[in-house]
Amino acid sequence: MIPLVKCELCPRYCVLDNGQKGECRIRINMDGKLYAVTFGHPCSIHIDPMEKKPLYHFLPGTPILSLATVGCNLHCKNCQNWEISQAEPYQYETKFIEPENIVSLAIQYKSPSIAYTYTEPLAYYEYTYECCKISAEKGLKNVLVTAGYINKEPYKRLLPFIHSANIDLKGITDEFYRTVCDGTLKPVLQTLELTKNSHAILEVTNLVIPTLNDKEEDFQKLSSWIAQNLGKDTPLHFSQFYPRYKMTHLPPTPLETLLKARQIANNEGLYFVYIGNIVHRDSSNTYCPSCNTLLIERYGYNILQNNITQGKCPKCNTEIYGIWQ
Amino acid sequence: MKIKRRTFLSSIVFTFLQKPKMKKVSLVRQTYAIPLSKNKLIYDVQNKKKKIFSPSKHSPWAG
Ligand code: SF4
Repeated sequence: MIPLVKCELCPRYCVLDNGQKGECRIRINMDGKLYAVTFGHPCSIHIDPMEKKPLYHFLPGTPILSLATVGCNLHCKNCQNWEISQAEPYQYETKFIEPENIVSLAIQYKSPSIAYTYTEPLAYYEYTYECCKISAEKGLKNVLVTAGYINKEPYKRLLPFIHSANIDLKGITDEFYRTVCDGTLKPVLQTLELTKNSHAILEVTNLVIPTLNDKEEDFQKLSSWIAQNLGKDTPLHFSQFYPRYKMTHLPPTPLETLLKARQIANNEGLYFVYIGNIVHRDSSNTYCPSCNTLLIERYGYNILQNNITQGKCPKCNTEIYGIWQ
Repeated sequence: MKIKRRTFLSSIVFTFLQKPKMKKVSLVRQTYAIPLSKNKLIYDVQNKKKKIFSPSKHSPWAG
Protein backbone atom coordinates (compact mmCIF):
# COMPACT_ATOMS: atom_id res chain seq x y z
CA MET A 1 0.00 0.00 0.00
CA ILE A 2 1.32 3.46 -0.94
CA PRO A 3 1.86 5.52 2.21
CA LEU A 4 0.34 8.89 2.96
CA VAL A 5 2.88 11.72 3.06
CA LYS A 6 2.78 14.44 5.68
CA CYS A 7 4.54 17.60 4.48
CA GLU A 8 6.24 19.37 7.36
CA LEU A 9 7.54 22.41 5.50
CA CYS A 10 4.85 24.83 6.59
CA PRO A 11 2.37 25.09 9.46
CA ARG A 12 -0.39 23.58 7.34
CA TYR A 13 1.09 20.08 7.69
CA CYS A 14 -0.83 18.72 4.69
CA VAL A 15 -1.38 14.96 4.77
CA LEU A 16 -1.39 13.81 1.15
CA ASP A 17 -2.77 10.68 -0.40
CA ASN A 18 -1.04 9.25 -3.46
CA GLY A 19 -1.36 11.73 -6.35
CA GLN A 20 -2.65 14.49 -4.11
CA LYS A 21 -1.18 18.01 -4.05
CA GLY A 22 -0.77 20.21 -0.98
CA GLU A 23 -2.60 23.44 -0.25
CA CYS A 24 0.22 25.27 -2.04
CA ARG A 25 -0.54 23.21 -5.20
CA ILE A 26 3.14 22.61 -5.91
CA ARG A 27 4.06 19.72 -3.61
CA ILE A 28 2.71 16.31 -4.46
CA ASN A 29 2.71 12.77 -3.07
CA MET A 30 3.87 10.50 -5.87
CA ASP A 31 4.12 6.85 -4.89
CA GLY A 32 4.73 7.69 -1.26
CA LYS A 33 7.32 10.38 -1.80
CA LEU A 34 6.96 14.15 -1.68
CA TYR A 35 7.96 15.95 -4.89
CA ALA A 36 8.48 19.65 -5.64
CA VAL A 37 6.47 20.08 -8.84
CA THR A 38 7.76 23.51 -9.86
CA PHE A 39 11.44 22.97 -9.04
CA GLY A 40 13.35 24.60 -11.90
CA HIS A 41 10.21 25.94 -13.55
CA PRO A 42 9.93 29.67 -12.88
CA CYS A 43 6.85 31.26 -14.45
CA SER A 44 8.30 34.75 -14.32
CA ILE A 45 11.81 36.26 -14.33
CA HIS A 46 12.45 40.00 -14.44
CA ILE A 47 15.05 42.56 -13.56
CA ASP A 48 13.53 45.00 -11.11
CA PRO A 49 14.85 47.90 -9.09
CA MET A 50 15.61 46.96 -5.47
CA GLU A 51 13.13 49.61 -4.34
CA LYS A 52 10.28 47.68 -5.96
CA LYS A 53 10.57 44.72 -3.55
CA PRO A 54 10.34 47.05 -1.49
CA LEU A 55 13.79 47.17 0.12
CA TYR A 56 15.02 50.62 1.08
CA HIS A 57 17.91 49.59 3.34
CA PHE A 58 19.63 47.07 1.08
CA LEU A 59 21.88 48.02 -1.84
CA PRO A 60 19.78 51.03 -2.87
CA GLY A 61 19.51 51.81 -6.55
CA THR A 62 20.77 48.42 -7.74
CA PRO A 63 18.98 46.07 -10.15
CA ILE A 64 17.81 42.71 -8.84
CA LEU A 65 17.01 39.59 -10.85
CA SER A 66 13.62 38.52 -9.54
CA LEU A 67 11.84 35.23 -10.07
CA ALA A 68 8.90 33.10 -9.03
CA THR A 69 7.28 29.78 -9.72
CA VAL A 70 3.52 29.45 -9.36
CA GLY A 71 1.99 28.52 -6.00
CA CYS A 72 1.53 29.82 -2.49
CA ASN A 73 0.68 28.25 0.84
CA LEU A 74 -1.60 31.14 1.83
CA HIS A 75 -4.76 32.13 0.00
CA CYS A 76 -5.17 35.84 0.75
CA LYS A 77 -8.43 37.17 -0.60
CA ASN A 78 -6.68 40.42 -1.50
CA CYS A 79 -3.70 38.82 -3.29
CA GLN A 80 -2.17 41.30 -5.73
CA ASN A 81 -0.49 38.50 -7.73
CA TRP A 82 -3.23 35.89 -7.57
CA GLU A 83 -2.92 34.97 -11.27
CA ILE A 84 0.37 33.24 -10.47
CA SER A 85 0.23 32.66 -6.71
CA GLN A 86 -3.10 30.84 -6.81
CA ALA A 87 -2.49 29.12 -10.15
CA GLU A 88 -1.98 25.43 -10.82
CA PRO A 89 1.39 24.52 -12.34
CA TYR A 90 -0.25 23.38 -15.60
CA GLN A 91 -1.59 26.87 -16.25
CA TYR A 92 1.81 28.23 -17.23
CA GLU A 93 4.22 26.88 -19.77
CA THR A 94 7.73 26.93 -18.41
CA LYS A 95 11.17 25.75 -19.39
CA PHE A 96 13.47 23.93 -17.02
CA ILE A 97 16.09 26.35 -15.73
CA GLU A 98 18.86 24.92 -13.55
CA PRO A 99 19.67 26.93 -10.41
CA GLU A 100 23.16 27.48 -11.91
CA ASN A 101 21.58 29.15 -14.92
CA ILE A 102 19.54 31.52 -12.74
CA VAL A 103 22.80 32.62 -11.12
CA SER A 104 24.47 33.00 -14.54
CA LEU A 105 21.55 35.11 -15.71
CA ALA A 106 22.00 37.44 -12.73
CA ILE A 107 25.71 37.78 -13.50
CA GLN A 108 25.05 38.32 -17.21
CA TYR A 109 22.60 41.14 -16.48
CA LYS A 110 24.89 42.69 -13.85
CA SER A 111 22.50 42.12 -11.02
CA PRO A 112 24.38 41.82 -7.71
CA SER A 113 21.48 40.01 -6.08
CA ILE A 114 18.59 37.66 -6.74
CA ALA A 115 15.07 38.01 -5.33
CA TYR A 116 12.75 35.07 -4.72
CA THR A 117 9.47 36.88 -4.86
CA TYR A 118 6.05 37.53 -6.53
CA THR A 119 4.44 34.31 -5.21
CA GLU A 120 5.82 32.41 -2.19
CA PRO A 121 9.51 31.48 -2.26
CA LEU A 122 9.12 29.40 0.89
CA ALA A 123 6.57 27.18 -0.89
CA TYR A 124 8.94 26.58 -3.82
CA TYR A 125 11.50 26.07 -1.06
CA GLU A 126 13.86 23.59 -2.72
CA TYR A 127 14.39 25.78 -5.79
CA THR A 128 14.90 28.85 -3.61
CA TYR A 129 17.37 26.90 -1.46
CA GLU A 130 19.45 25.57 -4.35
CA CYS A 131 19.57 28.93 -6.14
CA CYS A 132 20.51 30.71 -2.89
CA LYS A 133 23.31 28.28 -2.11
CA ILE A 134 24.90 28.57 -5.55
CA SER A 135 24.43 32.31 -5.77
CA ALA A 136 26.03 32.86 -2.33
CA GLU A 137 28.99 30.71 -3.43
CA LYS A 138 29.41 33.00 -6.45
CA GLY A 139 29.39 36.09 -4.21
CA LEU A 140 25.88 37.26 -5.05
CA LYS A 141 23.27 38.27 -2.46
CA ASN A 142 19.88 36.64 -1.92
CA VAL A 143 16.63 38.39 -1.09
CA LEU A 144 13.36 36.87 0.07
CA VAL A 145 10.03 38.61 -0.42
CA THR A 146 7.74 36.41 1.58
CA ALA A 147 4.72 36.00 3.80
CA GLY A 148 6.93 34.08 6.23
CA TYR A 149 4.54 31.14 6.65
CA ILE A 150 7.03 28.35 7.26
CA ASN A 151 8.16 26.06 10.06
CA LYS A 152 11.19 26.92 12.12
CA GLU A 153 13.57 24.12 11.11
CA PRO A 154 13.46 24.56 7.31
CA TYR A 155 13.62 28.32 7.68
CA LYS A 156 16.72 28.12 9.88
CA ARG A 157 18.33 25.89 7.25
CA LEU A 158 17.76 28.52 4.55
CA LEU A 159 18.64 31.64 6.56
CA PRO A 160 22.46 31.45 6.33
CA PHE A 161 22.15 32.07 2.57
CA ILE A 162 19.75 35.02 2.88
CA HIS A 163 21.13 38.55 2.95
CA SER A 164 17.90 40.50 3.14
CA ALA A 165 14.17 39.86 3.41
CA ASN A 166 11.01 41.82 3.13
CA ILE A 167 8.42 39.93 5.13
CA ASP A 168 4.72 40.73 5.04
CA LEU A 169 3.05 41.22 8.37
CA LYS A 170 -0.41 41.21 6.88
CA GLY A 171 -2.26 41.97 10.08
CA ILE A 172 -1.60 41.83 13.78
CA THR A 173 -4.47 39.57 14.83
CA ASP A 174 -4.89 35.84 14.39
CA GLU A 175 -8.44 36.53 13.27
CA PHE A 176 -7.18 38.59 10.32
CA TYR A 177 -4.86 35.79 9.22
CA ARG A 178 -7.61 33.19 9.58
CA THR A 179 -10.35 35.12 7.79
CA VAL A 180 -8.40 36.94 5.07
CA CYS A 181 -5.33 34.76 4.46
CA ASP A 182 -6.41 31.26 5.46
CA GLY A 183 -3.43 31.07 7.81
CA THR A 184 -2.37 31.93 11.35
CA LEU A 185 -0.34 34.75 12.85
CA LYS A 186 2.10 33.00 15.20
CA PRO A 187 4.38 31.32 12.62
CA VAL A 188 4.78 34.65 10.82
CA LEU A 189 5.88 36.39 14.02
CA GLN A 190 8.35 33.55 14.58
CA THR A 191 9.81 33.99 11.07
CA LEU A 192 10.15 37.74 11.62
CA GLU A 193 12.04 37.21 14.87
CA LEU A 194 14.31 34.53 13.39
CA THR A 195 15.19 36.84 10.50
CA LYS A 196 15.91 39.87 12.67
CA ASN A 197 18.13 37.73 14.90
CA SER A 198 20.13 36.54 11.89
CA HIS A 199 22.69 38.48 9.83
CA ALA A 200 20.01 39.33 7.21
CA ILE A 201 18.59 42.83 6.83
CA LEU A 202 14.88 42.70 7.57
CA GLU A 203 12.17 45.06 6.32
CA VAL A 204 8.48 44.59 7.06
CA THR A 205 5.48 45.37 4.85
CA ASN A 206 1.91 45.85 5.99
CA LEU A 207 -0.68 46.13 3.22
CA VAL A 208 -3.41 48.37 4.56
CA ILE A 209 -6.87 47.15 3.51
CA PRO A 210 -9.83 49.46 4.11
CA THR A 211 -12.16 48.17 6.86
CA LEU A 212 -10.06 45.05 7.53
CA ASN A 213 -6.79 46.18 9.13
CA ASP A 214 -6.91 49.98 8.95
CA LYS A 215 -7.96 50.93 12.48
CA GLU A 216 -5.64 53.17 14.49
CA GLU A 217 -5.55 50.41 17.08
CA ASP A 218 -4.22 47.98 14.41
CA PHE A 219 -1.39 50.33 13.43
CA GLN A 220 -0.53 50.96 17.06
CA LYS A 221 -0.47 47.28 17.98
CA LEU A 222 1.54 46.28 14.91
CA SER A 223 4.11 49.05 15.34
CA SER A 224 4.54 48.43 19.03
CA TRP A 225 5.05 44.70 18.42
CA ILE A 226 7.77 45.52 15.89
CA ALA A 227 9.45 48.05 18.18
CA GLN A 228 9.47 45.63 21.11
CA ASN A 229 10.33 42.39 19.33
CA LEU A 230 12.31 43.34 16.25
CA GLY A 231 13.77 46.67 17.30
CA LYS A 232 13.01 50.29 16.49
CA ASP A 233 15.49 50.27 13.61
CA THR A 234 13.38 47.77 11.61
CA PRO A 235 12.10 49.53 8.47
CA LEU A 236 8.32 49.32 8.06
CA HIS A 237 6.39 49.92 4.83
CA PHE A 238 2.66 50.65 4.86
CA SER A 239 1.45 49.76 1.38
CA GLN A 240 -1.59 50.90 -0.50
CA PHE A 241 -4.17 48.22 -1.28
CA TYR A 242 -5.74 47.96 -4.75
CA PRO A 243 -9.00 46.08 -5.28
CA ARG A 244 -7.90 42.68 -6.58
CA TYR A 245 -8.87 39.01 -6.63
CA LYS A 246 -11.72 38.36 -4.16
CA MET A 247 -11.69 41.89 -2.80
CA THR A 248 -12.74 44.00 -5.72
CA HIS A 249 -15.58 45.45 -3.65
CA LEU A 250 -13.18 47.44 -1.45
CA PRO A 251 -11.72 50.82 -2.45
CA PRO A 252 -7.97 51.57 -2.64
CA THR A 253 -6.45 52.72 0.64
CA PRO A 254 -6.77 56.50 0.97
CA LEU A 255 -3.49 58.42 1.28
CA GLU A 256 -4.66 59.90 4.60
CA THR A 257 -4.95 56.43 6.14
CA LEU A 258 -1.38 55.57 5.13
CA LEU A 259 -0.09 58.87 6.50
CA LYS A 260 -1.97 58.23 9.75
CA ALA A 261 -0.40 54.75 9.98
CA ARG A 262 3.03 56.26 9.44
CA GLN A 263 2.42 58.86 12.13
CA ILE A 264 1.33 56.21 14.64
CA ALA A 265 4.35 54.00 13.89
CA ASN A 266 6.65 56.99 14.36
CA ASN A 267 4.96 57.72 17.69
CA GLU A 268 5.65 54.12 18.71
CA GLY A 269 9.32 54.90 18.22
CA LEU A 270 10.05 53.25 14.85
CA TYR A 271 12.88 55.08 13.05
CA PHE A 272 12.16 54.21 9.43
CA VAL A 273 8.52 54.18 8.34
CA TYR A 274 7.58 54.45 4.67
CA ILE A 275 4.44 54.40 2.63
CA GLY A 276 4.39 52.46 -0.62
CA ASN A 277 2.46 51.55 -3.80
CA ILE A 278 1.72 55.28 -4.02
CA VAL A 279 3.98 58.18 -4.87
CA HIS A 280 4.37 60.50 -1.88
CA ARG A 281 7.80 62.05 -1.82
CA ASP A 282 8.43 62.78 1.83
CA SER A 283 7.16 59.39 3.03
CA SER A 284 9.58 57.43 0.90
CA ASN A 285 12.71 59.27 2.04
CA THR A 286 15.11 58.04 4.71
CA TYR A 287 16.05 60.46 7.48
CA CYS A 288 18.66 60.08 10.20
CA PRO A 289 16.91 58.93 13.39
CA SER A 290 19.32 61.06 15.49
CA CYS A 291 19.60 64.41 13.71
CA ASN A 292 16.86 64.16 11.05
CA THR A 293 19.25 64.82 8.15
CA LEU A 294 17.90 63.68 4.78
CA LEU A 295 19.88 60.53 3.96
CA ILE A 296 18.17 59.11 0.89
CA GLU A 297 15.70 60.96 -1.31
CA ARG A 298 13.50 58.73 -3.46
CA TYR A 299 10.92 59.30 -6.13
CA GLY A 300 9.01 56.17 -7.05
CA TYR A 301 11.70 53.55 -7.58
CA ASN A 302 14.38 56.17 -8.29
CA ILE A 303 17.08 57.39 -5.95
CA LEU A 304 17.47 61.17 -6.30
CA GLN A 305 20.23 61.47 -3.71
CA ASN A 306 22.03 59.12 -1.34
CA ASN A 307 24.06 60.83 1.37
CA ILE A 308 24.83 57.80 3.51
CA THR A 309 28.57 57.57 3.96
CA GLN A 310 30.08 54.22 4.88
CA GLY A 311 26.79 53.20 6.43
CA LYS A 312 26.58 56.34 8.56
CA CYS A 313 24.84 59.70 8.66
CA PRO A 314 27.30 62.22 7.14
CA LYS A 315 26.35 64.83 9.73
CA CYS A 316 26.20 63.08 13.12
CA ASN A 317 27.91 59.78 12.28
CA THR A 318 24.98 57.64 13.48
CA GLU A 319 25.13 54.14 12.03
CA ILE A 320 22.12 53.47 9.78
CA TYR A 321 20.55 49.99 9.73
CA GLY A 322 21.14 48.35 6.37
CA ILE A 323 23.67 47.19 3.80
CA TRP A 324 24.51 50.18 1.66
CA GLN A 325 27.10 48.91 -0.82
CA MET B 1 -26.45 -17.47 30.15
CA LYS B 2 -25.50 -13.94 31.15
CA ILE B 3 -21.84 -14.66 30.72
CA LYS B 4 -22.40 -16.17 27.31
CA ARG B 5 -24.21 -13.05 26.07
CA ARG B 6 -21.37 -10.85 27.29
CA THR B 7 -18.84 -13.00 25.49
CA PHE B 8 -20.88 -12.80 22.33
CA LEU B 9 -21.16 -9.01 22.53
CA SER B 10 -17.51 -8.52 23.29
CA SER B 11 -16.54 -10.71 20.38
CA ILE B 12 -18.55 -8.42 18.07
CA VAL B 13 -16.90 -5.32 19.56
CA PHE B 14 -13.52 -6.98 19.23
CA THR B 15 -14.15 -7.76 15.59
CA PHE B 16 -15.07 -4.12 14.87
CA LEU B 17 -12.05 -2.87 16.74
CA GLN B 18 -9.83 -5.21 14.82
CA LYS B 19 -11.16 -4.19 11.39
CA PRO B 20 -9.52 -0.73 11.20
CA LYS B 21 -6.25 -2.23 12.37
CA MET B 22 -6.23 -4.52 9.39
CA LYS B 23 -6.50 -1.52 7.05
CA LYS B 24 -3.46 0.07 8.66
CA VAL B 25 -2.27 3.13 6.69
CA SER B 26 1.35 4.12 6.83
CA LEU B 27 2.43 7.72 6.97
CA VAL B 28 5.74 9.17 5.86
CA ARG B 29 6.86 12.54 7.19
CA GLN B 30 8.82 14.73 4.79
CA THR B 31 9.93 18.33 5.16
CA TYR B 32 11.95 18.59 1.99
CA ALA B 33 10.57 17.56 -1.35
CA ILE B 34 12.43 15.84 -4.18
CA PRO B 35 12.76 17.98 -7.32
CA LEU B 36 10.83 16.51 -10.22
CA SER B 37 13.39 15.53 -12.79
CA LYS B 38 14.41 18.08 -15.43
CA ASN B 39 11.86 18.13 -18.17
CA LYS B 40 9.33 15.85 -16.64
CA LEU B 41 6.08 17.66 -16.31
CA ILE B 42 3.17 15.75 -14.91
CA TYR B 43 0.63 17.96 -16.56
CA ASP B 44 -0.47 19.41 -19.90
CA VAL B 45 0.21 23.08 -20.20
CA GLN B 46 -2.72 25.39 -20.92
CA ASN B 47 -1.09 28.76 -21.34
CA LYS B 48 1.58 28.43 -24.03
CA LYS B 49 2.13 32.06 -24.86
CA LYS B 50 3.48 33.56 -21.63
CA LYS B 51 7.02 34.88 -21.91
CA ILE B 52 9.00 33.87 -18.84
CA PHE B 53 12.03 36.18 -19.04
CA SER B 54 11.70 39.82 -20.03
CA PRO B 55 14.90 41.58 -19.04
CA SER B 56 13.95 44.89 -20.58
CA LYS B 57 10.95 45.72 -18.44
CA HIS B 58 10.06 45.63 -14.77
CA SER B 59 7.75 42.92 -13.60
CA PRO B 60 4.01 43.59 -13.70
CA TRP B 61 3.75 41.68 -10.40
CA ALA B 62 3.89 43.18 -6.93
CA GLY B 63 7.12 42.47 -5.05
S1 SF4 C 1 4.28 23.54 1.94
FE1 SF4 C 1 2.44 23.05 0.73
S2 SF4 C 1 2.20 20.85 0.92
FE2 SF4 C 1 3.64 21.46 2.51
S3 SF4 C 1 2.36 21.75 4.34
FE3 SF4 C 1 2.56 23.75 3.35
S4 SF4 C 1 0.80 23.95 1.98
FE4 SF4 C 1 0.98 21.77 2.55
